[in-house]
Amino acid sequence: MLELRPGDGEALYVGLKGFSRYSDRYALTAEEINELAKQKRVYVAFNRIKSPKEIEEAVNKLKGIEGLILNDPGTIWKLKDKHDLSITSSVGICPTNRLDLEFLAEIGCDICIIPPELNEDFAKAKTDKTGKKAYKLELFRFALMEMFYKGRCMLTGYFDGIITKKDGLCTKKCCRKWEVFMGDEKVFETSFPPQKSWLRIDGADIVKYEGRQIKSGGD
Amino acid sequence: MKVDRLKVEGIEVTHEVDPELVTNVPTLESMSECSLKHYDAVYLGMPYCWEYEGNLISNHDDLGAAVEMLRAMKKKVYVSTFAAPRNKDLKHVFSLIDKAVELEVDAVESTNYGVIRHITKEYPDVRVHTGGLTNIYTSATAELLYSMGVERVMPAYELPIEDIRKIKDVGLEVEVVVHGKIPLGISHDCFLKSFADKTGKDCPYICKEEFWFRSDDLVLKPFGSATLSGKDVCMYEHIEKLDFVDAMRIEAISERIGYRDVVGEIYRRRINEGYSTEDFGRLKEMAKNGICNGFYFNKAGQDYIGKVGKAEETKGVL
Repeated sequence: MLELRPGDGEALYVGLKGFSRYSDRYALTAEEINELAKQKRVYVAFNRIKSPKEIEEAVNKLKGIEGLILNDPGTIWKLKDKHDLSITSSVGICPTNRLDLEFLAEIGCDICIIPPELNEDFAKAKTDKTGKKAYKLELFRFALMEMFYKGRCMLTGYFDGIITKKDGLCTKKCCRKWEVFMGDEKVFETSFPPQKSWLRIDGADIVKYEGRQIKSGGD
Repeated sequence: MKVDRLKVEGIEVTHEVDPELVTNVPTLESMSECSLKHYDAVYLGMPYCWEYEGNLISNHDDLGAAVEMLRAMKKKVYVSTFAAPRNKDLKHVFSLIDKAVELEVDAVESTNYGVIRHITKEYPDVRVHTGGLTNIYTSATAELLYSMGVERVMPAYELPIEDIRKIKDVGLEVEVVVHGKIPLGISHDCFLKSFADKTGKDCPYICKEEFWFRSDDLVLKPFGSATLSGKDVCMYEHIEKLDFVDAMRIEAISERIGYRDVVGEIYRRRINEGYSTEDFGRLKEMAKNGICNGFYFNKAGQDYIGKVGKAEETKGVL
């Protein structure tokens, strides 16, 4: 089983400056990634949504990397045959069932990451009708469970004008204190901060440990 | 008014086509001839909870009756499917699609790539629409869906008009929300269900109440597994900027009886006769938490930019 940890695992997920989520503070330049790829198996996250052309130009500057993590089905479909790189569908695509995984495999994904809330749903769902694996399944062992499925939250754009999927930033409006009203009557207060969770990983080909949000304080 | 170009005997001619005015209804109980008369087409079913009382996607007898009613009104009939189906939900989704095919509806809407692909493969004659939560952010994804046989897409709610236009250029039909509360997130669990001990109301009755999350001036509306904008997206003043789309949706899935009727009438008048200060005022009055433009103008989705280009204060009843 391949482990992807923030910092010191068998393989590394790294962000490319300008293309990765959670700000550029901890993302690397192309030169830094190319140097790292000489020592480790490096997967580069392109999980801010940009045009396939912009992503392709950036990928062309990388050398020795293992694969790409992409956050847009059309981009996966367009780039699949242009590089001999493994393609991982970002959790932001948010597959919620086996048909989603079959679709992602059909358009060119080698590895599919599923939302951590659904680990148990997918333990037995990774083979196609012939019993042959159509894709590798990547599960979170440790993750932050958020108010919404990852990749399915537009609160930052709605309240602050920052489109998380494009700009990579989240202003964590979920963490505010929210008053819950039934009609015009306030009934209680609540909040929806991300919950640190250790998860079952039965059936995983690759195990992922979420790290960037914790390190960066969620920006 | 959209201009279509057709070739007649080799000569290109243009003709004006009004966009389709569409809405959605969750249950048979919420349907009435009066409330739907202003619309060309109707999406049937509440996509955020199977257990929603009377939900047309869970009650196939009611769905049949609803289709019959719309047919009698000469409306196009579309069926929505569950927004974020897990493996355990798929058998219900398949059953719903089979029922929709049997009823010969005009299209099936899905926001789930796996389900969309399943329909285009297994039912190639069925017209497929994709909803706003499909997360179509790029022309490349629109091209992919077009290549699979999808005929209409609703681009991601977060896209500005210029990006929506690029998706339209791919060649498929484009539908957008012009009025109503848009979903801003979809969760694993229903928040309302978890409130039962604090409110004394349980599923499915709790959904008959109107809930709000408020934090200073920020407002959200939980509804099944979705959380909607607290404000009503309103493009009444700016509808000409969307003249290239094929369908305009009045999003009314969580609204009380009367909203769909009044808003539909106002937008039908807007399309046919033009702007009315009185009608715009009525829309603002109906928006309990104010109006906003959504994401069309590269601003925060909750902001409202008026026709003269100035931000307006629209909180509360005006």
